[in-house]
Amino acid sequence: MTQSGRSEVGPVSRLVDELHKLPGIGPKTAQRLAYYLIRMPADEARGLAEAIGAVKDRIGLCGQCFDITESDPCAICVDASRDRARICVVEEPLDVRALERTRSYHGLYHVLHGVISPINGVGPDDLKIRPLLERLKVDGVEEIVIATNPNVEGEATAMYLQRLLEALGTRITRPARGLPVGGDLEYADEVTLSRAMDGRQPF
Amino acid sequence: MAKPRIYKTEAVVVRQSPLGEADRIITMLSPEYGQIRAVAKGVRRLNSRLTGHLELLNHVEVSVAEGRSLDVVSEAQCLNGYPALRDDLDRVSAGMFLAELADGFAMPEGHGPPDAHGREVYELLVETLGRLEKGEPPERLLPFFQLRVLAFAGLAPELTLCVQCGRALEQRSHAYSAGAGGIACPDCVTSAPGPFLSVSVRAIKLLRYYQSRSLDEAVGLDVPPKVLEEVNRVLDAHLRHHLDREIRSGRFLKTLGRV
Repeated sequence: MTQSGRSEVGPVSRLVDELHKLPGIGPKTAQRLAYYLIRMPADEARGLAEAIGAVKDRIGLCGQCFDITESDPCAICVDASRDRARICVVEEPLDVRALERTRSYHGLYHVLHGVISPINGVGPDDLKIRPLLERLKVDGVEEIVIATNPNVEGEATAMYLQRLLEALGTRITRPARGLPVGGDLEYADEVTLSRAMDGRQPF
Repeated sequence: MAKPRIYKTEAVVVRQSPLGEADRIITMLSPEYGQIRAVAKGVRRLNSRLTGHLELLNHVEVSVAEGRSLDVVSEAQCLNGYPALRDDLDRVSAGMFLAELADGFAMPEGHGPPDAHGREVYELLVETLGRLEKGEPPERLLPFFQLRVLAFAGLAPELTLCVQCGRALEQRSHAYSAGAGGIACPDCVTSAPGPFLSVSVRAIKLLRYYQSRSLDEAVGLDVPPKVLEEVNRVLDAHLRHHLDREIRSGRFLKTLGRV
């Protein structure tokens, strides 16, 4: 939104342009945020600027699991209380946060940083698949949980990984699929519903 | 066909891209309206009532409301989710290839001639996905699909007459010229535009067979892998020339062949 720059003062228009680059921020929202920042107390605004600077300076990828981290290897990878025989493969660092919130998984992670998406030209070589294979060669891993998203591309990635990893003889599992908590049976599509019926548990 | 403000149609989901926090732009091919691009709101949330229905490659029935810039999906019901196809890496990759190709040739509503063969491409896509689901071999379905979609678009490769001089081709191996869109006879090869590929008699015959026969006949024909490979190379070059880009899913299909 560079045309907004014409009516604004130099630094303000620069701020509007920068905010506009963020996902989901349109020109009007960018302008509103910029004017909010102008009215904000100086130390709060500086705090925000420093926080942004800090993530860019101090945050990198863990050399083992490729999660975002401040130290390499990351806190999860060095934690001695975690179960080192299990690796959970996920698409994005945000998926690690989601699984950690459940507090029901205690193994390690491996972040692929994407998913095989042939239609968008993303192939296996664009993901952190090779480092995963390297990792499996050395560690005494007993189980690999492939927790890619349950959509077509996530499934294709999971099947591709399964094909690669089969030869290693490691146990490969996937999270169960079924009905979401608080959902409505009548709105479930038949694939979800049939998988939910297949995977029913003793009550 | 002009769209009413809220319209209901069958469609196949051929592409998805994330939008904002939890929405997706869904690209669908439909028999009546050609390519439809519509926003599916909240579809990335696990408990959205649209989620499972609008998966890639699903054959769906949708209600779409006309929006200011993009239309909005108001209801979706999955008619066929092709569960067996989804559970097989080779078949699901073939399905994605079909979707990308069909979408590559699709005309958005109001952009093509009134009947831009959208219906034929749509019907062929549904038919081919159904056959993949039943377990018919992707390596025979794919070349047939490509040649048929090219023919609907008026871009079929010329396989019986020389593309330069128009004389009937002799029974021998020839050169395929991507620039001229077909086979050139030995006298004309030097004057035809490249890039070239040499094609054996058997590959030319197989291409003609796929071009002139029905899907059942194409699937029923047992073909040596080497000839099929040649046919695929010609189709690759032909598509790349006409679409001005590579079919990206094709690259993944090739990677799979090596795993």
